[in-house]
Amino acid sequence: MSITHNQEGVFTIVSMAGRFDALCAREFKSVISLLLEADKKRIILDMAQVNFIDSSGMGALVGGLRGVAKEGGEIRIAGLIPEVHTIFELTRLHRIFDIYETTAAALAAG
Amino acid sequence: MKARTIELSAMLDSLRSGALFTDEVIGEILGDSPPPHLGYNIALAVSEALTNAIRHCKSSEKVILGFSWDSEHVVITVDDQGCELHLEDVPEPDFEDAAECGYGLYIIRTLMDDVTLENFTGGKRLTMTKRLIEGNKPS
Repeated sequence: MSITHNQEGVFTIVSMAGRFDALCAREFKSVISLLLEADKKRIILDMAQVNFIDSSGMGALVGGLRGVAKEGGEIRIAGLIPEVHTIFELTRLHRIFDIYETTAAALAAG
Repeated sequence: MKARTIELSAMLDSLRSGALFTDEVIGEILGDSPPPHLGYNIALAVSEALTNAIRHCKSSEKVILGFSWDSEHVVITVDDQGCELHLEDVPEPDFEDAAECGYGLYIIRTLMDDVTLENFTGGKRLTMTKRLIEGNKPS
């Protein structure tokens, strides 16, 4: 999986691509930790290019969400393909995330 | 019935090899026009099973992933050398607390039509069966 990030106003957009499994979970957590250290607490995860996620990837997202919330920040998720969105529903974790169709919609939500 | 097998080291790095092998076999099984979500669901169940197996093994041990299939079913086995486990002892995920882990077997059981676990001396085998044609889930 590749992870890059850029700044759009107050939001940091983290763009992820590829397969998000146990092998990539540590890298994701590391990126979130670095952003928090840099006081970047408003994060949009652009997951449009994530073509696969399993429960280890979902666990990393939950851990990231909790870490960011603890610092008074937020994580928004954008661009899920249908197969990946299904895993959010299967694990019922869609209830704890703010999910948007696109990064533009996540940015526009204020 | 056709069959394919791969032996993997019990390390997380092996997930990549396991995923590439799985995608290749799924392509062979389902062909050019697979039913929606079927290939993804099989790949997801395999990923969960491999991750569980690797996490319950020492890195020096092996995990064997096997597929066998005909026109109606695919049977997937994951053999590991890890400790004994019984399906009835694995709790449901804590949905209310939005747990960070514990979803693997739940996902496998939800997506597959039949799941069994056999313990034997020196390891165990998880067997997952999925129907490839439309029909009711077996009771």
